[in-house]
Amino acid sequence: MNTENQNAIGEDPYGLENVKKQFDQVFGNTADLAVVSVNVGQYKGLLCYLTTMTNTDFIIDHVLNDLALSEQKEPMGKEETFHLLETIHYAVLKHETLQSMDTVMDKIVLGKAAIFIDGFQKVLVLEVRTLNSRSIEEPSTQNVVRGPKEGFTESADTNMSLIRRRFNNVNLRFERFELGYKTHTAVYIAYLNGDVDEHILKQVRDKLNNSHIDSLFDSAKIEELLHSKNKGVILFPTVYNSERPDAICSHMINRRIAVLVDGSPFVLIVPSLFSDFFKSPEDEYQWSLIGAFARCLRYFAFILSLIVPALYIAVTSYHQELVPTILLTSIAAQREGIPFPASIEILLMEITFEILREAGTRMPRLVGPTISIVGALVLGEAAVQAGVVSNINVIVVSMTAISGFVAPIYTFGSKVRFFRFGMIIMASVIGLYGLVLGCCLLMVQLTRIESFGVPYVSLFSRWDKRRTT
Amino acid sequence: MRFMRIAGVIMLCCSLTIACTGCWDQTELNRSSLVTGMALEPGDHMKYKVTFEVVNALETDPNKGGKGGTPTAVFSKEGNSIAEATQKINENLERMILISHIRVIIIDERLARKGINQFIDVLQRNRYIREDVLVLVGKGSKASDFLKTVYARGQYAGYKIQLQVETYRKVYGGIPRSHLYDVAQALLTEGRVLLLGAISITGDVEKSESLDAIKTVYPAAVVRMAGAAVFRGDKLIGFLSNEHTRMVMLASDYVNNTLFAIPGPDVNPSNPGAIAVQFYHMHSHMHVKMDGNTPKVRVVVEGDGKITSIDENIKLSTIQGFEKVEAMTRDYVNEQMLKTVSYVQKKFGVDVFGFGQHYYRYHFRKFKPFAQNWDSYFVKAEVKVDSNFTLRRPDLKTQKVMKDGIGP
Amino acid sequence: MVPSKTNAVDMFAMQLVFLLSTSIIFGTPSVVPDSWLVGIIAFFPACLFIVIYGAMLSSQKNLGLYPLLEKAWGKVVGRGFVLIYATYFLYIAARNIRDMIELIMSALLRMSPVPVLTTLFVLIIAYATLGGIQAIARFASLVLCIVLAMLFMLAVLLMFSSSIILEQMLPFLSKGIGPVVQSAFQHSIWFPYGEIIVFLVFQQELGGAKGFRRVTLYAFLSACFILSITDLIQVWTLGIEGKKYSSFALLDAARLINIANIITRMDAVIALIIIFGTLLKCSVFLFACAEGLTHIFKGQQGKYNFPLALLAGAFSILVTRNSAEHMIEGLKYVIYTLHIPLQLVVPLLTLLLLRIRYRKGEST
Repeated sequence: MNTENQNAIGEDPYGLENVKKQFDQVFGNTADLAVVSVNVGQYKGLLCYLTTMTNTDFIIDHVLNDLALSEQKEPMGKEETFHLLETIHYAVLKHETLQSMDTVMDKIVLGKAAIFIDGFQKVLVLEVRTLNSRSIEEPSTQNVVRGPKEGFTESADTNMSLIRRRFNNVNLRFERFELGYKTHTAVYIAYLNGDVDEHILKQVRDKLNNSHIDSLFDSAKIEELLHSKNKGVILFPTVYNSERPDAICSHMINRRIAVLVDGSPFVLIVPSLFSDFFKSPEDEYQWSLIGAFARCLRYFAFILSLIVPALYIAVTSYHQELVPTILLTSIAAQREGIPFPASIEILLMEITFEILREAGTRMPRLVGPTISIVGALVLGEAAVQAGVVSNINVIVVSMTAISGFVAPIYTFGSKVRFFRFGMIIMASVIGLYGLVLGCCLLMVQLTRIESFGVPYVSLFSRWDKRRTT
Repeated sequence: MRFMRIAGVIMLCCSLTIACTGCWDQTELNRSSLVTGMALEPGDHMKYKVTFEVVNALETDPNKGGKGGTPTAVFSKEGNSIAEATQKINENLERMILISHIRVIIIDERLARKGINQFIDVLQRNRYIREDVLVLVGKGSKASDFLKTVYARGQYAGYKIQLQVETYRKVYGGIPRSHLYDVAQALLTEGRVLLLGAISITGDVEKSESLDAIKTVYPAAVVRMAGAAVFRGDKLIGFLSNEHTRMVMLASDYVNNTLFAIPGPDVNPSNPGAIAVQFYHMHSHMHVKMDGNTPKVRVVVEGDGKITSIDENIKLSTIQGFEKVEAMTRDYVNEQMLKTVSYVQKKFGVDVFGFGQHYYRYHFRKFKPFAQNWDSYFVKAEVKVDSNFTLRRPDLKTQKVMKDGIGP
Repeated sequence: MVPSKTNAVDMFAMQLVFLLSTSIIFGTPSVVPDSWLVGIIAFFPACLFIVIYGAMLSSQKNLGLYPLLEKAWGKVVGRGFVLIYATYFLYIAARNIRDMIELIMSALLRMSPVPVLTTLFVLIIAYATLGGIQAIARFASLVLCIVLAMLFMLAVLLMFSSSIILEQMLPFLSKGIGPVVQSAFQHSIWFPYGEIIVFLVFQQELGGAKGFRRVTLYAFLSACFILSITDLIQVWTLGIEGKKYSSFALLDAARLINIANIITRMDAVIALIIIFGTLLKCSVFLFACAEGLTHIFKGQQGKYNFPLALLAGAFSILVTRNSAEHMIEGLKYVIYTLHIPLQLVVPLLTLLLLRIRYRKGEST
């Protein structure tokens, strides 16, 4: 075999010149490609890697030194040399042996180094990736007072290690997928083998395999992909996301599948149910009654954030008989001289609030406080003083806003507000009847949603508790 | 998916259509006025005259202060039915009226004597009028005058009167329950006639209409509770005093809380001492049976209370002391009750106590033959009162604070 | 998709809300003084329905109502019956919508045009039916919680505003037991209990004869209990006489709530219960009707829902001119011409035919 290859050196794709040429062809003249001539034992070789993706110090310390095989005095064949490198020198490094040029290129893109031996048809690919990422920090979105302070980072490897460290269990599985035909982003699903539902696992795999997206920079895109679209217009998220490894792991215990995307600190959980969005990881670290109370409070706040403005409109401009007399006179006194009907007034303030909120999140951090000053003082106080809106209106809108922020998962709260506007419109057209119809629609919608075949809302059957008993 | 889209489109169309045309039922608060009181009296030209007390909301808000105007304004309209007059109120008033917050409906004495049945229906049928609105009979003055009495705190007469009636009933029991549903109940049920609360005015109404009346310590005119209005069928036949009303209410178990001032043991006409006994939990029940054509009624009154004041020196550190006061209370209440019963029997001859109702409920078959003419049997009723009072404690002192005397 | 079977509790919730929804306010006619007793008496003959329907299901390996009809009566006649049943369900749905709209128009709104209210309502019904019977069942369990909570709240609030006077239910049986029993047989067993026949349509998805018997028995028991309690509450608050003249007695009872002049006028809560309940009931009927049409005309599932819903809405407006006509039609004509034949006679005959045509062991 060896002799045959050496004879055909001119056309040999593994000849060093050819390899260089191929690299030129594929990578063009990208500045971060290093193709270095080295000696491998007594043969000539090439070491190829991307400087931006690899740790150069690591290559010098651990790869180059061993490559010359200086302690080996006796001449040996290429096969033996390769074998020696593979089994002895680089045995502790994660490595693989490849035979096709195309796959080698792909590996180099992922931050690996390839070692070619002149004319030899096997290529040794070494894991020399740099861990040049953000260190583990406290998560910024889901804060807890009590509980672990670690948060996921942008590196999927770190994230996987964060999960693995919490499960000292052989059943934990990671499966790798590659998504995005331009970015080839690594996507991992993690689950506890045996606990998880095979049906659901298959669906997740199918969805990931059959995706046709070109790029993937954040897990939000996967979230969209996994979102079950077959059951109507959905304004409720069916995919949970978290920056907290403890939250993700506690869901995985409950038969869920985690989806990690390289480059995103938000790890997804499927299937997710309505009640998941009202749980904070902290609930489990406290006395159970406090956790339960907090959860009830969140549900209550959720309902409030949906119906309070609509209820206000319905009651003050349609069903005055429902308000206690004294309260009604007080409201009436405030509404005296306000130019708009209650519904317009509420809509006006709600939209103002949405604009403020948008501005607040987009503003640079230093300018942030300005927004709140302008919002609170100028819009709130001055509008009331000027008699454009009434006091009670400001109370209603701010109460709604605060309740809207109680949801532990940001995406949940941000999606739900669309229902609020629907309710406001319904209530301002046909009063309480419209509000109740709105609630009906909401409930019908909620009960119709299924997340991977699991009912989104189900009062009397808990899907995730079924098998543990 | 397709159906979802269609549904979405339909929903959108509907909401657009509605948004463009709709809001049929909308009544904006700043385009309408609250009504807190309503007075009904015979009209000068038409059958009824309806008077509304309309709130000027801005003046009631202590924070905004208003412009120093009156918190309420009174508007009257005449019509051949109550509903007509109500609808016509906008001849004088610029805003829609919200009648769902009426607190009192005051019926003029003259109107009540002609019968209330012909106009009560509109009040019962209308869903905006609360079932627990007070229906009172205005004694002695025109019904609309009651809505014109204002004083420093009673911002609007309707609210003031309602609160007054409720508080009075709670602490003393001298006025009957007279909500709108009580009217319906009394008119529908067997063996009981309608009793409504009565109110009257002391003082000068003319002066009281102006805001200046608010600025004096002594209100120019005050609405006072005037016991009960007694009806036969739906027609007013007379009034019961506060004391009699209390006894009637006590017999029918509507009094919870009251105070009896019992004449002292050695009554000395020039200076009658008294013992005041306060009761917190009073209960009563009755037993009715027929002896031939005479109803035999036994009313049992029970109470739990304390001694509030004694003008005589009775030692309350002894069991005998308590027993003595209890016995006196018992005798007093029995006597008062019997007085009231015979007064009602003689003066009105209608069953205001509900003896007949009790008999109807518990002995339906036996009641049947008497149902037609119960009131004529009621007049002959023999009533026996058994009362049983327990006085628990003498408040802070065990006896009257006075020298016991040292010598023999 | 995992073929998730509806669990028994959801199923029970669906049947219970179905039984309660409109009957909680229109159920027992107040023509007899002791109407709360009517519900209790009606429960026993109503159990006969469970026996008949259960036998129908078990005779043919839990086939739904429509295939059963075809099996028993042959293709042509069977299909005729399927159509009749589908129309019957649609008609009841329309009547229920009308009931609810009557309540809304006299309790919440006054000027809004009825067609708009109805259209909005039926669109939501159609949307609810698109999710299938499982989604409806889950919706029902939510509604059940709300309804029970509201009723409980109502009772407690009435108690606190001291409106509940037990004496008012006396005199007891003033007209004897006769009218009570008669009323039970005339009205209560057909409505709401007999309407349970609609659940036969979905039995394949809902657990078959065994599950049906058990769940329906529990649902009947609870419904009987709750209806009697609400009836008693009405009598205790309004009195026998007051209840008689009220068009919506429970609504009137709720109007009496007054706690310190702050919590007053809870009649809106009742309207809310009714809207939720009617929505569920109509969804079930509409879904059954749509199933029937799909069964005959072999369309795609969900194809008929929106047109049928709009049809039901239109029917609900056109069916009668005023509330008196509506009540009389519901209490007299519907019972004799529709309820009794379709709830009792046809199922009995079907059962008989099935027994004759497919003897034991021969059924395939």
